[in-house]
Parts: sequence; C-alpha cells; structure tokens
Amino acid sequence: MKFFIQLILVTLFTYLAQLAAPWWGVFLAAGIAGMVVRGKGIATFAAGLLGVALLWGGQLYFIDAANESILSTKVAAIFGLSSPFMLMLAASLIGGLAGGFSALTGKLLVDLVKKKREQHSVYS
Amino acid sequence: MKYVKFFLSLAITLALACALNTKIDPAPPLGKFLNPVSGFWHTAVPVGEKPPSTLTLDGLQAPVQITYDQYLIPHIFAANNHDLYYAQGYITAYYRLWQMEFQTHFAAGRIAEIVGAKALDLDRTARRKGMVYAAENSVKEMMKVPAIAEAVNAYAAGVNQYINNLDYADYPLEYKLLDYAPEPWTPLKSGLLLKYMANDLNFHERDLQNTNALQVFGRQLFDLLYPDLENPEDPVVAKPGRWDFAPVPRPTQADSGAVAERIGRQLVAQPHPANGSNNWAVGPQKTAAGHPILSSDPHLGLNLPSLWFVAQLQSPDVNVLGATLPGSPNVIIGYNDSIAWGVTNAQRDLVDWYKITFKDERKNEYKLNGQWVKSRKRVEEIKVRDGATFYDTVYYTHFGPVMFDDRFHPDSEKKYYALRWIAHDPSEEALAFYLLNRAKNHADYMAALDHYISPAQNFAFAAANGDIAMRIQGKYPNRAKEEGKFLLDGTTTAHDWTFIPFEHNVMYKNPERGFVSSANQYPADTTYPYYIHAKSYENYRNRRINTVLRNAANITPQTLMKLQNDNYNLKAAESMATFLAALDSIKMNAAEVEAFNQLAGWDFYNNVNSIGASYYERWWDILYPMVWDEVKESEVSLPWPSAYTTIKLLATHPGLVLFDIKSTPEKETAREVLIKSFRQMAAEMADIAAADEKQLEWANFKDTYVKHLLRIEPLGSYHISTGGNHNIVNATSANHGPSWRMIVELDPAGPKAYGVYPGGQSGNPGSYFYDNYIESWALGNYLTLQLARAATNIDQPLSKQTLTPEKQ
Repeated sequence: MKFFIQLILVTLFTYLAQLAAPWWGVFLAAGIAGMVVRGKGIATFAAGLLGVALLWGGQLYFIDAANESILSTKVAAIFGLSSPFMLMLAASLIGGLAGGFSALTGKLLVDLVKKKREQHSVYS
Repeated sequence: MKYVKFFLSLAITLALACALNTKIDPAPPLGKFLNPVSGFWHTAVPVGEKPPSTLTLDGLQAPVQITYDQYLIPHIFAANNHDLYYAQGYITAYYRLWQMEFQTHFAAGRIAEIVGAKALDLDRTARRKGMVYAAENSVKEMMKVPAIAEAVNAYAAGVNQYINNLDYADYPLEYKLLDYAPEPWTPLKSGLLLKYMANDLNFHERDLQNTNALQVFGRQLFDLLYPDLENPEDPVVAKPGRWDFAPVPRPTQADSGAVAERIGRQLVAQPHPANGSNNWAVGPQKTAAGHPILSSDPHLGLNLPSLWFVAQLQSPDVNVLGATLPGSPNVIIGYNDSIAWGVTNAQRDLVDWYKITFKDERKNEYKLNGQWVKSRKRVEEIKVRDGATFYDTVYYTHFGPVMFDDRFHPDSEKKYYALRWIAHDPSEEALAFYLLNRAKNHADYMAALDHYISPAQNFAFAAANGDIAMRIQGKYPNRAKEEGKFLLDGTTTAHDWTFIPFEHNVMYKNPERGFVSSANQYPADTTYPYYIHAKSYENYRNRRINTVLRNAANITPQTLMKLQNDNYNLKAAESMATFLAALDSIKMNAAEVEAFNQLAGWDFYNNVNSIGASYYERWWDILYPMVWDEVKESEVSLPWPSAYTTIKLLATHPGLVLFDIKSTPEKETAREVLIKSFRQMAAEMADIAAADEKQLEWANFKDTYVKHLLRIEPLGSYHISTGGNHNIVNATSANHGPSWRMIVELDPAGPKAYGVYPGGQSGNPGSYFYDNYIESWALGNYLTLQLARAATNIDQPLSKQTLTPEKQ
C-alpha cells in the first residue's frame, strides 16, 4: 500500500514540477516524494523509478502518437536505436533512474534526521 | 552506516543529474534532450495541427492577416511595408530559425563557436575571404536608402520578436542536438546571408590553377585544353553586329598582367561546379494562350531545411509571390500580377589574386607603384566552443584581404596573395529585389536591376503586356585580353579593376526568335566588344533548351514543365559515336558485350528506368580522370578541362600527348583510354547486375538524396527516385539539382503559376511539412501557386492567422 502511495506521489510531484521547473525538477520532485512517505529502501527506489518512468512513458506515448512518429523515427536513428519504441523506453528509463535515486536519497535523508531525533530522546 | 548510505545515494543522484545535463560529445545532454516536456519531443508537431490563429506581437503598427494555403505557404497581408517585413521576419523565423542563424554563422566564420576547434580552418577561411567585411559594406548601403533600412530593420525586429518569446523547450531540434541557444538577429545577418549566396555563386575562379597550368603545359597545350570560348552556338544573348555602343577602353595600356609562378599551396575551396540554373521566357507569339510564360529553376546543393521558403507578400504598394531566402526580406525569384522574373548564375571571372610584396615579415608595408604603402590590420576574433578564443590578424591591401600568408596555410616560400572579389564592393542587391518585387513593366525591371551588383545573374523577365527580356546583370571588370585569368602583379595599380558601364552589359528585349533563355553558358555572341572570361561555361543544357524552344509552338505551362524535367542527355548523344567507334573490332567478354549492347540500344534519355544511362555515366566517370591523370596526379593544383573540351579532343586529337596514361609503360591514345575505361566499367556493371539487377536502373544507380545541413543522416531524405544529371536540363545529380522550379503564365486576367522544391515549408524535422514536397518534386509534379488579392481569396486554406499589435 505504502508503495502505491509513493508511486502516485512521485508521479504527481514530477508532473507538477514539470509544469514550472526545468527538466531537472524531476530530481527534486521524486526526492520530496521519497521524504513524505517512508518505505523500505528498495521499495522507495522502485517507486521513484516506476513513478517517473511511467509518467514519461505515458507522456511520450501521446506525443508520439499525435506526431505519427515522424520525429521519434529520426531521433531514434540518430541514437542508433532500432525504433521509436526503443527511444521512448530509453528516455523513460533515464527519467526512471533519476526518479529512483532521488526518491531513495530523500528517504535516506529523512532516516538520518529521524534517527537522530530518536537518539536524542533516549539520552536526554 | 546511515551516513554512508545517504551520502552514497546522494552522490549517485547528483552525478546522474550532472551527467544528464551535460553535453558529452557527440551526444546532447540526455536528460535535458530526452525528457517529454522540454526535450526534443516538444518539437514533435501533432500531425494536422494548424498554426496559431492569433499572435500578439510587440512592434507591429497594425493587424496583419495571414492565410496559409494547403501547402503551408503563408500569404501575408499587411497595412504597410514596415508590418509586411516585420511579419515576413517573424513567420520565416517561426519556420526556419535554426537554418537562418546557422547559414549566417557559416558566412560569418562562426561555426567553431557551435562545434568547437574542428571548424577553425573553415571559419578562418570565411574571415580571411572577407565575408564579414563584405557584409558590413552591404549593410552600410542598405542603411542609406530609407525604404530598405525600414525593411531590413523591421525584418530583424520580427525575427527578434520570435526569438525573445522562446524558452529552451521551444528551440528547434538542432539547437537541442548541439546544445546551444539562438542569439538576437541583426541587419548584418541579412547582409551575411546575401554574401553566403555570393560565395556560392560568384566565387568560381581558377586563376592560380591557370597560372600553374601555363607553366606545366606551355601556351599551346594550355590554349587547347582551356579555351576561353568552347562552343559559340547558343550564347545567352545573340545579336551579332548589333552591339551599338563604343566600348570603354581600358584606362592603361594593360596587358594580361600575368605573373609566372608555380603555386604549390592548398587552393581555396570552390563552390560546387554544378551550381548553375536554367531560366527562359517565351513570348506571346509562341504560346497557346498568347500570354508570355516564364520558367526558372536554380540548381544548387540539395539540402534540408530547404534553401527556399515560399511566401506571398502584400502591402498597399506590393503584391508578390515566390521563393524567399530565409534571412533576407523580399522575394528573390517570383512574380506579381504584372511581371515575373527568374535568375541563373552569370558565369564571369569576378575573383582575382594579386601577388603582394611585403617589406618584411611584419607585413605592415607593401610595395605599390614603387613606394612602400601601409597595410591595414583587421583582427578577427573567433570564439571556440570548449577552447580558447582564436585571434587571427588579416592584412588588407589596396586590392583586398591577404588571404594566405605565413600564418594560414603557409608553404616553404613566403608568397602572399591578396584577394579582389566583387562581393567586397558596396552593393544594393536588397534595393534591387525590393524594386523588382514592385515592378510593373520592363522599364521598372531595368530600373531595379540598375541597382544590382553581385552576385552576377542572368535575369529572365516576362510581363503581362507581352514583353520578354534577358539581362546579364552584375558589375563586371573591364579587362584586357586574359587580364585576371592568371595571378596578377600586385606591386602596381595597372591592373586595378575598372568596370563595364551597366548599359553595355549583355541584354536584350523581345528577340525575333520569340524566347530568351540562359543556362550558365557563354554570355554573348563573339561580336560583343568586351573581353569575357570565366572558370567554366555550360555547353549542353543551353543547346538542348534552345532546340526545344525553337521547335515549340502553342506552348502551355505544361510544355515547359516537361522541359524543366527533360532528361535528354545531349552530351551522351554527341559523344557516343566517338566512344563506341573506339571499341570497333576489339575482343569482348560477356560483360563487355552486354555493356556494348546496352549503350548501343540506349535512347540517350537519363530517365528513372534507363539502364543505358547508368552504363554511360559510369563509363564517363571512369574515363574522365583516366584521360586527365596528369591533372589528377599533378604536384601543383591544375584546372580540369571541361567535359565538352574532353569529348571534342578525344575525337579531334586522338594522339594528344596527354592521353597517354603515365603510370603504364605503353603509349595510349584516345582509343586505348576509351577501351581501358570501357572494360573497367563493363566489369563493374556486371558485378552490380550480379548483386541486384534493379541497381542498373538509372535512378537507383544515381541514388539522389537531400541531406541535412549538419549532414546528420536520419534528418536527410535518401534513395529518391528521379532522372536527370548534370549537363542535362533536369540537372538532378546525386546531391545537386533544381532547388526550386517555377513556371508563371502572365495572363492579364491574373497570373497562373506553379512551383515546387525538394523540401517543405517547415524547417522542423518533427513536422509533416519538413520534406513533404520531395515526392512531387522527384516526379516532376508542381504545386499550384496562388497570388491572392485578399486574405479571403485562397482556395483550400489550411488556416487563418492574425498578428495583432501589442497594446502600448
């Protein structure tokens, strides 16, 4: 359940960040999502990865369909990829990696702070 | 442990963010480039999307109405000239911004700024050639005439309005691929664009090569290989004995001024040898409807985005439609309701080299008329991406910039050559086109061309009142015999350029034969009283065009469409008998018998499916360098004799000493060279046939393509099935040919016009309109052009747009 909430938050925050910030807003958005709901490390990474990859993949699908793959066919060939699908997959994975590591970093930062507080409460 | 985990994860995340936001050559920054919102995907235009219906623009004086027809040709209707050129600038930038800027960066020697040090030599060549200096001179002239200053400034304001509203997401694809940003547009860039064209069209010269050839071959052989006039038939203008003016003499008793020298250095890159064109106008007596018809097809490199952008421009004092050059206001080749005009390149030597004697290596003073004269220094600052700025000092003399010196392509001896080039002279081509766009009759056309200096062109003309005309307009040096054909003595002003008065230029109106035509051939009949010389002339397209036009009656636009797409190979027809005669009674293997039969049975048309054409063209491509092995393998750069002269000499001088192939022990004559090249060709063709017979068909064999300006293969268009070749009226070779085909029938009730070009209106590779005309162009089909009187008069409009002034 936590995982799905994380996933939805990553997707939502990234979507909102993209409306205003430059492309690297995805790092901040996924990072914040990772801080808000704390899951396990692997699960947070996966939620970040999937959240951004699915968002990007979905957006690319609609852009490419409207463009009838005129541009993606050319750019895929520039990158030596065999099809627009491979290009969309590569783009989504790159977004996903950014999302995954950002979410994980966010979670680990909160772990750090929370742990400290817990320690303080014990010894003071 | 928690700390370690956190910092490790943070480090990976930051490293990823940096890596994905940084250009790692040759790839663009991947995250920035590939993300769906601001990445390249943003330039993927939804198919069927229409241009925005309203745009509010700062700087317009009144609303401008634009109707796009089904081909995305904008028909611009403005209330005044300022708004017209503002809108032309805005709309051109909307569709072609990257190309406009890249071409002017190329002209300005600023490519290293975009791609780094690998372009430094290219940039230094442009700077040392004086491209920026020439553009600056051109802009000074533009600013002197208020109407032109208004047009050029308004155009720049329109382009800048577009640029100012862009953020990274909106940048055209190429900016994102190379990771750089557009900069503000200036009138200087319009000047640079015109010089970009001048460089492509008027930099043909072989003075230094001629100088070498005279030394290497001696006078007799030189004259045989490189005659000034190869074929006097069908010059552009023939009116023998009727040049009724007294030529202006050269002011001094000038001789050729040639300096004897062997020049080992790398010579200047030349424009594509096939840069040329066809144009003609037929008079009312030869047409079916009794109206004159004009045709024009400029032959240039086939590139995407296309060189041309088609537009209609209307304001209260102009209504014109045609091909525009992105970066320059006005229409360059087009028509209005009274006249039509088209251009081909005028072949003339407009480049000279003067040998300079500097006092010492500081190059501060040089010898002129027995005195030491100061040179002028111009420091060119060349920015280099990811590198230190390069400063190049260019020395300007009385003649022009010293292009080569001890710091640029030096050789062992210090020889300094100054460049005199017509494109350096102040010129008013912007005014000439402005007036031509507004011309109503022959007198207006003549008055417009009186302002035209460079690049020299053959202007064909037709008017709704029935007049047709041709004028070879440019500013031409008045030369003594052979003056400027070789390296000139730069220690004297005796060979300074003086000019032929414009009224003595080659021209005529309404000739008896009922048509005018030009195809880059020799300009005038032999009674023209001035000395004429050029690097090369066309000898085939001109004669074919004139033969067809002489024999034609009841001409319609369709007749002329057929002629623009005519694939008859006159060169093959004239040379085949000589070539095949050499094979008489030789022993042939199966491949050679097949080749012989294919050639003997061929009808001399380079059509899409012609097989004989492939055999002939391959034979020629092997034969030509084999014949001139002395030129190819020479230690100094030498000019290549023309195809016409080569074919003529093979027939008339079979024993010419140069026909011997130096690398073989035997003594070859024309016959042996023809046999040897034939056997090589037959073997190659047999191999091709064995692999895939379809590859023998001419269109497949030639394999025409249109390449992207950056030579990024997936952005080009390849394997285009089309006929023709160089020296053929349909001059489409592998990557060169008709860059715009236009035909205009000047019906007084309203012109009927047709045009097509190998590209599309949009420069965006993500748009359906990027290359959508290519197929029509390849098939010889045309789009119907509409010179509308009002924004509401367009048939099948794609959409309407209003540009509204921003409220103050």
